[in-house]
Amino acid sequence: MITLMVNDKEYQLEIEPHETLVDVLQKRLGLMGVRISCGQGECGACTILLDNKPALSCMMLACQAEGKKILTIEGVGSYDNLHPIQESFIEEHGFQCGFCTPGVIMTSKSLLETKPESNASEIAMSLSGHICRCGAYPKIIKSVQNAAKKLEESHGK
Amino acid sequence: MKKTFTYLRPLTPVEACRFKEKYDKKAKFWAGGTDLLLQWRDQKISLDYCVDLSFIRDLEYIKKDSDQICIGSLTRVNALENSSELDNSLSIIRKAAERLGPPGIRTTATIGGNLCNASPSADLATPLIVLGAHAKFLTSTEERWVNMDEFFLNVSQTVLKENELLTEIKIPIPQDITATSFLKIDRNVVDIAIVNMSMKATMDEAGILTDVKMAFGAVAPTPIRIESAEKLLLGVDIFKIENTLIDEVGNKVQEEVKPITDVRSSAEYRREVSRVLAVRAVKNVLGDLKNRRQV
Repeated sequence: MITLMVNDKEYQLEIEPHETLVDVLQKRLGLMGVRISCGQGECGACTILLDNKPALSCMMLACQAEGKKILTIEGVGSYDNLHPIQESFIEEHGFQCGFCTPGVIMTSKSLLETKPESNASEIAMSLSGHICRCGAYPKIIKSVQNAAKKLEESHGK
Repeated sequence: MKKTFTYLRPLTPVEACRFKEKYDKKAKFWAGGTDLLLQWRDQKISLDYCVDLSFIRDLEYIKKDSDQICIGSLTRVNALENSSELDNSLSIIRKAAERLGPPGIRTTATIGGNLCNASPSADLATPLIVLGAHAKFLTSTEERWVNMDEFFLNVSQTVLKENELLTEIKIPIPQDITATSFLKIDRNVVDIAIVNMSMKATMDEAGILTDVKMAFGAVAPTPIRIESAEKLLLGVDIFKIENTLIDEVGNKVQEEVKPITDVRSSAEYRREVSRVLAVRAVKNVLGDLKNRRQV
């Protein structure tokens, strides 16, 4: 039995020791925004925040995440109340199919919280672990820059 | 191959060693798990008992004093990358950490895991080798220190004995005028190195090189030093060094490396890139030393 803290909610789970965090989040908790794609740390689709730092949930055991704050896209904003980063991705068309978007937004969120003034090349470096097969990269970077502005304005208020 | 394993969670290094000794070859130490998880899933390793080290807080630290810096083996790669303690000559550790996979890996991957996995391309290996680091091994009853120079034996093989746990890396802080350089060639920033390398050079007050170390990764079964290239530079006056000598260093490196062809690169390309990186590193380090002299 393990206890996971996911999106500010505590879950007691009976799991197999070898289960990865991504499997538990998606298959047991139904958090479909955490994508399973390459399964080997190449694509970034399964990125979640672990104590506010981006982590690949396919590359760790769920057991290893016990005691840490796990944040998935489901905990970032709600349908009626989107996070400024989510708004920016819609405004700037930062995706086409949207499969990689949750992971990209998680890494972007961590980046903008730690280095809000990141320039385009720093954003690109930070997102280097995310593969977008639609090739939306330029618009992804624009979306993150736009989000940085929105966040700065909202902090200024 | 078993479908799952028994999960053990020690809270201290000694407790971890006791678990390992109890289950011996059936158990494995599990650090960040970014390499082991894939190896287990691909059935490259057998694992009945997973000794998860993730909860041993005592082994996550970077402690610096006047002449050395000590890094706990479970220190996360992103802690290295963001450490202001890793400055001056030690900054090659930070630079190597910054280039180790994508940020999502660096949050969980550890320095100890990077070393003990013993990949020929381990990014943190060459900086530690040229800096003359030592590694501390622990069992439930004993400890010993090993020079990083002698740490790697072969692909996926280190001098660690079956039940020894790597707990700390100790790095002497260069006291004389020293410059270092870390270089890596890869396809993109997420990628495993085609070639990575580190160089350290120390000079005396007169500008004569008194210590030179060069180490290369992904060009042999283990990260390797190229001592014949180092020797070419020993005793040389940095203000009188000629380009032909620097080229000779590059050529020496190209001769001495023993790369293989794999998915990332051909052996031929690796040899050529090793030469280019050697020349670049020498120029970087000499430039840095010359600036230091003028100050």
